[in-house]
Amino acid sequence: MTDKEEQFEDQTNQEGFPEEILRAADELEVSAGFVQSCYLRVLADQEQISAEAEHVDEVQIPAELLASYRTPEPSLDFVSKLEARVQADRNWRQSEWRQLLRKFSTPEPSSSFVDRTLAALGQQSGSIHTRPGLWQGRMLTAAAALLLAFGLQWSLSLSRLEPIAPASAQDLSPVFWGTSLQRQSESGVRFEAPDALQIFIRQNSRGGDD
Amino acid sequence: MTDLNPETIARAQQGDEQATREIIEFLHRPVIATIYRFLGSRFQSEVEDIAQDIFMKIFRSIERFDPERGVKFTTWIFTFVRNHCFDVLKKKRLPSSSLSSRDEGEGQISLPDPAASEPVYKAENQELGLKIEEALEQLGEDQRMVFILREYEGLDYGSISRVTGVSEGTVKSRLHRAKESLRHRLAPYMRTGT
Repeated sequence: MTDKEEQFEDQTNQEGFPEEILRAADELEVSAGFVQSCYLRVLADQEQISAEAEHVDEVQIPAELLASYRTPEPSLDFVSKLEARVQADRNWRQSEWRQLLRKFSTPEPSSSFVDRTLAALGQQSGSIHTRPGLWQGRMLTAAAALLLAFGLQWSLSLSRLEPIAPASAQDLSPVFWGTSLQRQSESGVRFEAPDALQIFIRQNSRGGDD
Repeated sequence: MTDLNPETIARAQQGDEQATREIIEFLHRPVIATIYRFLGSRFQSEVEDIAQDIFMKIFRSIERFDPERGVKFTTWIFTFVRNHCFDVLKKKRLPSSSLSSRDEGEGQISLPDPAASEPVYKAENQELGLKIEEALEQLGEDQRMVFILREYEGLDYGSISRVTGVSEGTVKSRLHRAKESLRHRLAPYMRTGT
């Protein structure tokens, strides 16, 4: 087998054949003896490889001759420079990771969230004054929304006290990263709070309309 | 080649700076030597940068090394070296057998060679070294890598098989061809024993 053939073999071993090539190959007409001749060639190649492998230790290149080919000495500061670069890279990755975590934490509800929600409720229900039967229900929904919003804000401020960004050497461990993510996702309130509030209001207002 | 202490590797996986340094100290010479021998002296000025890039890749992925899989750490390291060196050659688009730059004085070894203390020995040694380098560069990339890993770094066939991603039989076959080719090219020097 030539070097080119070996390289092709390595490449196909590593990458595999793309689907389109395999499909095109199915449609290709080959000569009747192709499979057999190919098989025999592969066998011969395998035999040659085995034969060469068996004689591998018979050929010796003197060690003193090989030792004449010397490699350059590394720079004196190679290790310290590399160590500094590795450490800087770790710090950069930690900082990137912290930024990524920050992106995944939910934003605080804006101060006008409750007002806007109430206003939206008022528009959706049309004229509250013309439907006096619903008025009390709307007020109860609004009060519940306010209470829930305050509760959520309080819960967010508490959860923010827990450090979520890793700050030790453990940062580099994917296991630790996974745990951090899991810890974030487990605190369901932080991710789901705004949606839950909206659903709560929507359900209540829809119920009132029905 | 002896392997690193598993505890050192585990500490480096946790980000321990001392362990990181120990690993670099332990491996930087064989890594640099392998790069130099594989790529040739025309890459002399880039060898340390290439080695640094390889170590950066290694330490970015070190958490993925699992000793339970039965692979030596040094074998794992040489997989990075092999893949990166092949990438370098691909990117540079340089035929591996080209030696044109040597005549123009590029790639000369300018770093100190502590073993070559006597001037006469040094001159002979360098000339022979160049002949060996030329012979190595005439080999195909796969054969050259197998030869370097076996003859210079002392890796066993199983480890070379893991590094190169081919069977042990193919490793031995490549090594046999490489040795035959080198024996043929270096025959005058082998006869005189120098």
